[in-house]
Amino acid sequence: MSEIFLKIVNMSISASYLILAVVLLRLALKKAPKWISVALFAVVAIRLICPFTVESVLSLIPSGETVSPDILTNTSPGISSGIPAIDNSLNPVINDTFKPEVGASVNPMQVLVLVASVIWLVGAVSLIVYALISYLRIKHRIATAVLVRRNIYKSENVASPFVLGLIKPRIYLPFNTDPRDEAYIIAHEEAHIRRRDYVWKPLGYLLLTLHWFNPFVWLGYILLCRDIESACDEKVIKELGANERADYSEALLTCSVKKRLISVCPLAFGETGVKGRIKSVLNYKKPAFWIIVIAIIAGVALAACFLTNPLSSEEPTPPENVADESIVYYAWKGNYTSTKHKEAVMEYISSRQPTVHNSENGIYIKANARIKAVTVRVFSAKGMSDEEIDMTANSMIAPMVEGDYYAFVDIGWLNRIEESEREYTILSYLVTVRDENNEKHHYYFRVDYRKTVARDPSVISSLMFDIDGDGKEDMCQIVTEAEGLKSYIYYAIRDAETGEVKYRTERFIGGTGTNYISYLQVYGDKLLVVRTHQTSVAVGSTPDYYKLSIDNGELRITYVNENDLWK
Amino acid sequence: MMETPKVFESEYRFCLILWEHEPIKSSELVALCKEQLGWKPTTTYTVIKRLSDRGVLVNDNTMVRALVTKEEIQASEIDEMMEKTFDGSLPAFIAAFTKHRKMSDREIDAIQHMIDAYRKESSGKEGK
Repeated sequence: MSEIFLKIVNMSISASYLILAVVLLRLALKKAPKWISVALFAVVAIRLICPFTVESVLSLIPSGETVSPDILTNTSPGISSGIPAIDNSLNPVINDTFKPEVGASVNPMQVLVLVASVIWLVGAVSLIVYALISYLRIKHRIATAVLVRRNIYKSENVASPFVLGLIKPRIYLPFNTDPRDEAYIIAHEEAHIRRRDYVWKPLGYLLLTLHWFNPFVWLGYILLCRDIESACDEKVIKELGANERADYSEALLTCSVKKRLISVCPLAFGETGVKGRIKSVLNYKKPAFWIIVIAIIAGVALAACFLTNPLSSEEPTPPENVADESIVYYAWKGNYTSTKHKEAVMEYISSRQPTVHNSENGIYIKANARIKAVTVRVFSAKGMSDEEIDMTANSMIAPMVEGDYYAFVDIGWLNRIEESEREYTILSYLVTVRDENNEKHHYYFRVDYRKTVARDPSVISSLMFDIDGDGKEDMCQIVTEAEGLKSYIYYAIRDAETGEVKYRTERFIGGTGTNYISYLQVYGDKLLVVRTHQTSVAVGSTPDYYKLSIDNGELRITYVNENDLWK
Repeated sequence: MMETPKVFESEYRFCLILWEHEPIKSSELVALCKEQLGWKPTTTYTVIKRLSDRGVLVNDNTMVRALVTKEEIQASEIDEMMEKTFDGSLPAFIAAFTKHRKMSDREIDAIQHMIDAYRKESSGKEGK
């Protein structure tokens, strides 16, 4: 139920922008026929009920999914409203308040969302029940209404005329309706029937019950009801002469005056509803053709801009400060983390020394970090003096050195990479390789964790490694999740001929307890995996050796005894 | 002397049918009410029971007979009864002609003036 509630919340937020636009457009199109205003609200209805939409560059909606369902499981919860000012001010608070404790049995965000869903459901059901009860009471009251002709009935239990019935709508009038007014009243109600308002109004109310928590939707419904009445007025009077319009106004006035002076509804007193309608009736002029054309164009533009969602985040291009030598880099966006975590991140980084792997094809650098916490920039300090290196460095650098290259892994925060504000579970590896002619080739390895078994990777170790023995390096990655309880090996094979990259994921036989892969190293055709165990009393490391190979397109992981390692 | 029972306008229309055809089998009365009043059978039976309780008619072994004549019925009480029994407010999802609201005399007059002025102005134009 939490997921349904979040979907509705997101639809509601998107619709609110649309409602605002419709309200403004309505003001601008005052001279246009009112049925167009009603049609604009039909667009709103689509947004409120349809969870699917297309993405478009025309979209003016800041975010199609302000509250992602991931917020329930994210270790750094936050929203993505599409408005940086809002995100940056709200997300730190959300994160501080609702960050789930490691090892705690409840996730506070899940509790909050569940409670909110229940409140929402109660509200919606109450409104529906109220509507059903009202409907049944009216039906009971008009049971004895007598047929006048066709679909027109009269009853002593009707104080003001209305239309009722979803399938076969009927017009109900009071018995003591003034005969001078009757024709106009019937014309108005028949306009309601021809326009099918007896369907649209309850439908709108139904949407209101689903979105009752959103004041914009209330505003939209109130305006919709007003526009429906005006549209019916227009439909009736556009064929009438001046005197008849005055008579119509008299009918409106008569029917809206409450004869009984005892009233418990102070809000109704002095409302300009009837006055406004009569004014519009008396001042009505047939709208010019070009106004109608403009209004329709505006409506279509509205649909294009507000029924669509913004384009989702593209894959990031490599940051500018990536060294021009062959390196592997990875970068992703987590949600905002608070400053408390800076030291913790440092710990993780320093305990998992990034390493550089220098092969004849190029230099590959891997660095490990808690995936949710950091973005990583990698750049080469080749050619920089020691001093320059020092000045570039900050306290969060993990230096990696091998051979001629100094490389620094700079732990930055999520603002550093601007491509996406969202939590990001795609890792990209840009591998640049020099061939025998010293020409550069780029290979893009992409790991999309949304498509893998590993749902919530907390540690990733990766390296380039020739898995299938074709002399071309492939990519091997070990992903540890669930605080070290599960490990997955994920690899990407690069086809020797075509350069095409194929992906696989495989469950890795892990050890007991909490294990982090702290070190990977390739020895010939074998992979060294060092796992660090963490229990409450001890930290220890176990080196395991595995032979990776591809057999018939399947990855084989064979445990290798240390004694056999060098054979 | 026994007080003459009061009836609603809708019940009065029912009584008109009864007076014309009485004494009449209740099932035939149901058919007539369906045809002339548009009433569902359950409605007709409910009304028969209600009016029987009020002493307006008697339903004797499915034969229905009026106990009151047309002249005796106090139709003038109808409006008074109606006003007392309900307030006439309609929920938002019903398509109505207009909202029933309390307006001050001044407001009503102001609007009436607006309409009258419009009439004068338009008739002046049309006269030319």
